[in-house]
Amino acid sequence: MSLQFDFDKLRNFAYDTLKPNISDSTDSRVPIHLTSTTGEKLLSTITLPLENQKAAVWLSATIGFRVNSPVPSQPPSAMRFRIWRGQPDTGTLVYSTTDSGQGGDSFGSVSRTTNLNHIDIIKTPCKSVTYTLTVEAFDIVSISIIGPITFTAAEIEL
Amino acid sequence: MFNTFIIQFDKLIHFVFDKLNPNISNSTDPRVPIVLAPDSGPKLLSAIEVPIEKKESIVWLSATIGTFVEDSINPSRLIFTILRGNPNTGNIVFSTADSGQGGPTYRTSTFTHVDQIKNYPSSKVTYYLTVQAVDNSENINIIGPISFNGAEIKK
Repeated sequence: MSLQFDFDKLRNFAYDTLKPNISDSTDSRVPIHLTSTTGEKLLSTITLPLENQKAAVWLSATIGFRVNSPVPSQPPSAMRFRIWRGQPDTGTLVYSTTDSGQGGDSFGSVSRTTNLNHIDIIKTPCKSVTYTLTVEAFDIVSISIIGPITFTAAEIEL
Repeated sequence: MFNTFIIQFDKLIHFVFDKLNPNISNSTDPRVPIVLAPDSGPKLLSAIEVPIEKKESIVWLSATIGTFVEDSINPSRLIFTILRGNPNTGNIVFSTADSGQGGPTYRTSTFTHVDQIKNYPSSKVTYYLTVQAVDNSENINIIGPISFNGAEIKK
């Protein structure tokens, strides 16, 4: 008689969301107000347990924000989203992307949704890995992170 | 002859999805275009039924929608909502807003959410994806693609 352990390719899953995870959420973590001088702001942190010595970590995130500029012709407002393995600055930058929204008008402000996807390959054996999602605005008048915020990490067996 | 006992550790329990056929911009699927006229209410984009096996589980939801804003000097806001149980009266588990500006503007909106379910009174749960246009002076068309999927993951 033999015993066989059969594992899924999906080994672990970690996630973080606002509660409720909606536009203009009442979660105390939002709104996060951004200007050109507010620097890098923390959006979410998740820690994923790891089973395998080598693994692919599938990271995804969704962030809802509003451009508060009252002038439609205002230059596009840009934001850089970053995912750090570990903490910002001391960790390793594994992903970044830049997205823009343009100003609003008398009808109201512009709302946008940004979605991120990345695969991080872990080659060094460790029991868990922490990822930090941040945002930094530049060349803007005013942007508010209003929700939703979703951040997920899935360990996939290589 | 050997007997083999297989012990399975499944993390991904179910995966369901819905998409247009073909799932492309300006798809010929009869479900599109969906025309969102000014001051119109929420419209159903997709529904998926996820079997629930455990008393406590998490459902990883994601969606992608392609839109076309005919003409909009003003920002035209689209509010996407995921409801659990009923497309009108169900619990709102997720919502987000995306805008198109200028005319014409093509926009692709993608988003994810994780819904945590405890002691759900049924062996399956249906998620409804809806969209409503706000502040649009002209029509906004949902032209494809539309992708909506749900993965039940064991806690």
